[in-house]
Amino acid sequence: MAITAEESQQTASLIKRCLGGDAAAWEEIVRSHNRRIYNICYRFTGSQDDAEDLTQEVFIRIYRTLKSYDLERGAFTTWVTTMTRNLLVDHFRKSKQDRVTDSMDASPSGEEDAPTLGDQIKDDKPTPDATVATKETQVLVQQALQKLSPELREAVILRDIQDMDYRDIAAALKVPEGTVKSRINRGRTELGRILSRNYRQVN
Amino acid sequence: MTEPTKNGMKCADFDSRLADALDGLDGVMSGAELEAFRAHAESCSDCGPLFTQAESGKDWLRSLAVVEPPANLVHNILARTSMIDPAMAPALATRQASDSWLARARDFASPVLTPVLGFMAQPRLAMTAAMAFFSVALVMNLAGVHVSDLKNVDLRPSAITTNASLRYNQTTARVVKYYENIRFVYELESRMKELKKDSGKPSDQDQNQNNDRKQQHDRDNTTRNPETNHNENYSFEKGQDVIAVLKLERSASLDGRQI
Repeated sequence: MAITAEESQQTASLIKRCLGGDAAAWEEIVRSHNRRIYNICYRFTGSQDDAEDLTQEVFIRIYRTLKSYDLERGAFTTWVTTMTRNLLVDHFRKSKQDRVTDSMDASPSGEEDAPTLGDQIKDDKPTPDATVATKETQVLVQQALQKLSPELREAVILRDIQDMDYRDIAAALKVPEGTVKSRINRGRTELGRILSRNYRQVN
Repeated sequence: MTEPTKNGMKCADFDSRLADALDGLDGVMSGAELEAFRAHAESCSDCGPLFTQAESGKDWLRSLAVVEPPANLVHNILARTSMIDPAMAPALATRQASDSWLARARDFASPVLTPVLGFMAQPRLAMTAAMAFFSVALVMNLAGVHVSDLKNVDLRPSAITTNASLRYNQTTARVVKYYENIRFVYELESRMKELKKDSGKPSDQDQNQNNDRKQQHDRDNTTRNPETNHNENYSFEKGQDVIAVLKLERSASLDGRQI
């Protein structure tokens, strides 16, 4: 994911315009990054609704802290990725607490009308992957991804789904490159193990 | 604790090179290094499966398709951020409003319109299009429809609705009026008939009654004198009698006193 000087210059001018109150510039930023952020969120959470909410939260956070972004310190995409990742980790911690305290019959969001965890498991409404030919495989991989620890999950998502290089991942996660490589290795290995086990069970 | 070394490569080294071997990001491994790596993967019972699993894991992850975000995501984000900074809201709102309507219509129609327009742009279809236009124009001309009559105003949805409801109401009113008129005419006719009937009957009855009365009168009148006899004034004589009687009584009483 090499960012050319021209691209970074364009981004810089876009941010400058946005900070000057140009709504169109902000819209352009949203349009160019929403797909990527949504995909990271979806792969991390495995839920479309959560991904949508989190993507909105990420952009609100970007909007509020755009002033603090320093072009010299790194690429805008990396900055956005860090913000997304921080929010995902927060969300993971919160949902983990919920999972500990909630039973299967209680709704995870605490709302009466929201589907319960039990409903969500039973619910077989098509995910975005359903349109792809190998939809069963996609679902299996997504489920396996959900079983990885968040550190390994975010590392493999950024490497293999978002195609970021080690340096950018290290910058986004704020860990050394060696750690990034190690996490990617462990994440891939664990995923391969889970899926080969599942496939053996299926076949 | 010494690291086990197999084929000139430690398991820890193997682990650190695993990502490089699979991704090939930090430069392609040198021939000797790659050779040692492969040899280690084949011979080491721990690292061999590790390599296979990592490779399959990577392949699984790469098979995941890009997920399309919901269509209204950008709109929702812009709506929420515009609430944070009201200064940016109006520009954003107007842009969004003008943008969304047209853009959505264009997005919606483009899968249909684009191939159709591309197809129609072919020269061999130009004559067909011209003939179609000509025939439509001819039919419209014959039907008495002139293009100049069709104002844009008339094609607005609100104008169409107003026109339609106006036409409906006018037609309804006409039908009701027609019906009412028919009813009125019928009512009038029947009333006239009744009146005619009525006007015939009473005249007969009156005549009959008159005849009856005449006959009765004739029967009573044995004198055969004309009726004018009734008008004869006898009051004077009769009155005189009464007064005379009174006078008599008076004179008698007077006489009695006098006697």
